[in-house]
Amino acid sequence: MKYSKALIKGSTSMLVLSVLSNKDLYGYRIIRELEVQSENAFNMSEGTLYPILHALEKEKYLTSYWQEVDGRDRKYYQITSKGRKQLAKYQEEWKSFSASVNKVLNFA
Amino acid sequence: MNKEDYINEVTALIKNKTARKDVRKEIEAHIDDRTKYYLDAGYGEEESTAKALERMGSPTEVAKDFEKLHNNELWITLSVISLLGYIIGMICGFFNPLFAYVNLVDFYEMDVKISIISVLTFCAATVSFVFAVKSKEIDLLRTYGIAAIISPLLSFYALRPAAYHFISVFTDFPAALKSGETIFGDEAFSPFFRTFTNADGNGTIKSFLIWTLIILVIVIASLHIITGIICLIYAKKLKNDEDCNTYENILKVFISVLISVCIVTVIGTGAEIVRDGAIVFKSYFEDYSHNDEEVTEEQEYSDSIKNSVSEEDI
Repeated sequence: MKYSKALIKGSTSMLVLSVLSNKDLYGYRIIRELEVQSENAFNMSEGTLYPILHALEKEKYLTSYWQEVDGRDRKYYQITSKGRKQLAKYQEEWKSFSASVNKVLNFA
Repeated sequence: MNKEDYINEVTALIKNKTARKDVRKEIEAHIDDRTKYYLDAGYGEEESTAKALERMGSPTEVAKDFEKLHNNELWITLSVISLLGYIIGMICGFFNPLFAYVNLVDFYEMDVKISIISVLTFCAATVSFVFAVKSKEIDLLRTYGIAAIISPLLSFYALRPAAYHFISVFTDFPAALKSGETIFGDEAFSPFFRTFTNADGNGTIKSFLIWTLIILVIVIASLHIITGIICLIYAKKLKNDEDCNTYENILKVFISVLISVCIVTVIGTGAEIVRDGAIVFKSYFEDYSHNDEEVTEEQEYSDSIKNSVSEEDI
């Protein structure tokens, strides 16, 4: 199933933090990880990931470092403790939000 | 659209060169990875690149997102940093007349205090410098560099009394020779001469303070200029070849330095007017009370004459 752009854009920060909560990854690997975990449902414009990553870094939810892998410099992103707290908050919000949405949808 | 065009469009709106370079590297690696993904899946080379770029999405949209992220605070940061050091100096400019008014310090001590504040200003400026180096903002580094080189001139403005004494060493002596006045113990002469001419210890102490101050000013000024030069060299090192915003950057730096100089001049002059006003005000009161005493003395004198006269009459 493909989701609409607006729905994906609003939740990307949460998904990115979630993927990075297990291990440090660079941009392309984050996209791949999202593909695998969602079974190819998240078909986002890949370029838009980078402004999101940079915004998260600016908010200090992520830190980054360059590391050479296969003869090429990769910018790895690492979740901070502030980022973990934010992720927990997002998850909480998401659960309550989706529960409410489900109630309304089921009512109809 | 090929890969190079795509990257150029995405990074076109990022003004900070270091950030632009980093984004370039990051996006390029991503496109290459995605291209490899399609190549591995059995697609041809051109088709793989085209598919990879298609998946990246609209470059204009990404560029707009980046523009919001990287350019928003640059101008604000520039102004804040370039003014930070001077603000401290200005605050001290306001406090000095206050201290002088309540007679806590005399003028020489006041100058020493200004130079202590100069040291603090230098520390604040150093913090800004470290920040500028860390954030690798070339514009910021340039602004700081130029400001650091100019600020000793501003310090001399604040430390004009010291500068005056320094200059007077060269000007007073010929003037004294011309007018034929004595230079011994003359308060109007520079403390440099008083050191050698004034018999009482007073002049020596004062001129010692002044000379310490002059040396301090020279040390601070050199430190400022050295950091300024380091800054400019570092900024040049960071600068890459594709410099398309030179004119704009120079204009920004010029404006921020101009603003700094204007504010320092206006507030510095204002503070001096307040200080001089306070001194005039204070001396007026001193004169007034002094006159009072004289009047009472005269009255006593005239009273005593009256008394003696009256005694003679008897």
